[in-house]
Amino acid sequence: MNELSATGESLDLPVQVSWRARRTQERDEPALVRAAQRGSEPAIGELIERHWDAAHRAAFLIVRDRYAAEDIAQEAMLAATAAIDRFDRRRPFGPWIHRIVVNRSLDWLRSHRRRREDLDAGPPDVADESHHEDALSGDLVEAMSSLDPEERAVIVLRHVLDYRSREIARLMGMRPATVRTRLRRALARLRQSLGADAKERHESGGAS
Amino acid sequence: MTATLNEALRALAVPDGDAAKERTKLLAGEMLEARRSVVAAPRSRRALAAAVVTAGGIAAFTIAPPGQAVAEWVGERLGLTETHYIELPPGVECADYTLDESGEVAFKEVECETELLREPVRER
Repeated sequence: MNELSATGESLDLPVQVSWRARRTQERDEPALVRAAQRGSEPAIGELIERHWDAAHRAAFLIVRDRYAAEDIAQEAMLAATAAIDRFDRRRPFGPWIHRIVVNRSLDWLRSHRRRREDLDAGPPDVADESHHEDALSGDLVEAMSSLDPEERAVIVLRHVLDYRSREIARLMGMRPATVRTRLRRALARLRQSLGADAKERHESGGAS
Repeated sequence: MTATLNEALRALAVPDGDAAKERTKLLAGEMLEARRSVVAAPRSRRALAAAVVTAGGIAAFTIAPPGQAVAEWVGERLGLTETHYIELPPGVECADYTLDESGEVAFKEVECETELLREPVRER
């Protein structure tokens, strides 16, 4: 059964990816950034290689659209490349990318929602649903979908990208107390959704 | 096996973005390459400056051959399609350009490098 524990954050799911290498990669990044600022294509390629997966995953978990996630990750990398000259090498590269990714993801959701409202009389976006389905499966994703976009964003920043509340506040331009409130609310809703899913499966005889 | 929420979210299957990643690397490399070779060409030192702005900004200024439109000249030389014209404030003769994250052009006054003004195209 998928269940958030008393500490609030454990789930019964297989672990497929180890994600602990991010911090150790940051040590030689100033040299890569310096090389990119001098026009080194391999250096910018290496920075993109290092940060792509996290950026893409974060975008996807927030917008839940594979093509939008690719576009957002790409735009973030290219925006960073465009402004690389002005980047302060003493600072880590990741948060810069992640701030762009999260802000663009939220922007995309807002404009997408507006477009959907404009097309309200029309049929549902079947194409969108189909490419949601091929990657989105499982209770956790459904539970994530039940969150509002900003709640998803803080969950992704905290639990996928490993930022603390104070750092999230800086990235999203919120007060730390607001971030903590949103995190608490989002975790409570995840717990509730996952509990309901598990109960439903149990009642239908499909629970493990 | 019990995993943390962190691990569960990180283990969720997401669509493969490798093709987009490779495209992005190529585009970023092209941006840096273009930035090395891009020139901006004012019609005169004090007049309207035209800058070919790729996402990487402008490396240097030079002067278009007389009688030829700056944009055409720069575009021909560099094979670029997007040209932006930027009016420099009075008294500013040379500037570097960058694009911020939202795509807005920003400029910073720099000292004119006279040798750049003599060369039709110069990379740096």
